[in-house]
Amino acid sequence: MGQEELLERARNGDDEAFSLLIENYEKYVYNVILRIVEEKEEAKDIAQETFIKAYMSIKTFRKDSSFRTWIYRIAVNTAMDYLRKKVRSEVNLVTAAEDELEIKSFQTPEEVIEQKLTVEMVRREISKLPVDYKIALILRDIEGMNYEEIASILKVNLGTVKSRIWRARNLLRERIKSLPEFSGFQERGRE
Amino acid sequence: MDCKRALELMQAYFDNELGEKEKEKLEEHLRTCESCRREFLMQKRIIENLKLLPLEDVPESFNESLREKIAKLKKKRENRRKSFLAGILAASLLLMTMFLVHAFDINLGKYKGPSSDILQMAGAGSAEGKGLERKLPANVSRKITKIAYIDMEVSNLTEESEKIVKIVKGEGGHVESYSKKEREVKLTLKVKEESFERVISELKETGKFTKLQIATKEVEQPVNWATIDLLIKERNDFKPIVVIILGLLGVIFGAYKGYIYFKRR
Repeated sequence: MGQEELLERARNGDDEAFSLLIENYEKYVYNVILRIVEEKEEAKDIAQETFIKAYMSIKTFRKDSSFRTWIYRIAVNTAMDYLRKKVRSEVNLVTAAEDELEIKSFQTPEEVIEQKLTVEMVRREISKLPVDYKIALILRDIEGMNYEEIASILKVNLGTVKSRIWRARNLLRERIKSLPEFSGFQERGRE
Repeated sequence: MDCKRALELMQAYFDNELGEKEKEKLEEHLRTCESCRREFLMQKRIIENLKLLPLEDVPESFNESLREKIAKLKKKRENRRKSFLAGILAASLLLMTMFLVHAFDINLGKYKGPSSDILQMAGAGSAEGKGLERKLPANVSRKITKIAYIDMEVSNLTEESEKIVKIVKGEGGHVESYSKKEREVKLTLKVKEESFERVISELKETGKFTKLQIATKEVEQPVNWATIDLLIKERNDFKPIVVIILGLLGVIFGAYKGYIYFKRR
C-alpha cells in the first residue's frame, strides 16, 4: 500500500493505516526531538505526543504540504513547547553533567577515536546553541532538508532559514575553535 | 575577494547554493588564503560530523505505549462525546420543560369567562343579555345587574378558596356553584349589588388577577344580586425560578461540555 493510500485511510479513521504511516517516521521524528531536548525519556514522551497530535488532527492535514513536513512541524512545535515550559536550572544541571563526561573521554589520541569524539564535541556544542539556530541546523545538516522544507516546517521565510543556518554554523565553528581540546586537532589539521 | 565575503559564500557553498562563477572565485580564494582555508576545512568537518551523529533507535516500548495512549484517548474522546451529547440533551430537555410549562400556562390563560353551564346556573344566559331578552316573556319586568369575570392566581388553592368563600359570606353573599379540577377551582358567586365592588377589591388581596372583566346583564325583578364568575388557579411557584435556573444551568452545562469537547478535539 502506498503512502497516499495509507494517508487516505488514516484520514478516514483507519488506525492500522495510521500505525503503518507513522512507522517510517518514528525513528527520524524521535531523533530530531532528541537533538532538540537532549533527554531520551523526554524525547520519547514528546515523540509520542507528536504522533498523538497527528492522530487527533490527521483529518485537518491538507495535501498542500508533504506529510513529512507536517509531522516534523508538529514535532518541532511540541519540542519547543516543552523547552519553553522546562525549568532553566534543570537544563544547566544536565549540561554540566555531560560536560564532565566529554572531557574525560576526549583524552584518547587515536585518529579514529578522535573522529568519533569530534562528533561528540559537535553534538555537545550544538546543544548549547540558541534553540532557533539549533533547530534550523538540525533540520539542514542532520536531517538534510532543503531551505524550503525547513521554512515550511518552522513557518518562517527563506531568508530567516538561511540566516539561522549560517549563523548557527558560524557560531558552532567559533565555539569549537575556542575549545582547548580542539587546538591540537586544529594544529594537526594545518600540517 | 576579501575574507569576509569568502566566509559568507562558504555557507552557500555547503548548501549547493553557489553558482559556478562564485564557486570558482571562492575556490581560488581558498587556495591563496590559509586562514580562510582553515575555516573552510573546519566548517566542512563540522558539517560532516553532524551527518555522522548516530541515529538512536526509538525506545522499545514506544509503539506499544503509543498504541495504548491512543486507545485511551479514543475512549476518552468517545466518553466526552457521550457526555457532550448528554449535556446537550439535558439542556434541551430543560429548555423544553420550560417552554412547555410556559405554553401550558398560556393555554390556561385562554379560558374566556365562565362556561355556559355556570351562566345558566347563575341565570345569566349570556353576558350581552340579548339572548336572555328573547327568552324572557314580554310582561316580566327586567332589571340590569352586574357580572364580573375574574381569573386569578393564588399560591394555595384550598386555603385561598376557603378565604374567598368566607369573604363572600361575610358580605352576605353565597356560592351558587363550585367545581374543582386538579389545579383550579371555578366558583360562581352571588353577592348583593351594593357589596359587588367591595368583594372584588377584597378578592384582589387574596391573589393576583390575570383577568378582570365586568359586564352587565338583565335579570328578572326583584333580583338584586350581582354575579362574580371566578376561576382560581394555583400559581406554579416552581416554574419561574427553579425551571429557569435549571434551564440556564442546563444551557451552561451543555455549552461547557461543548467547549471542552471541541477544544480537545
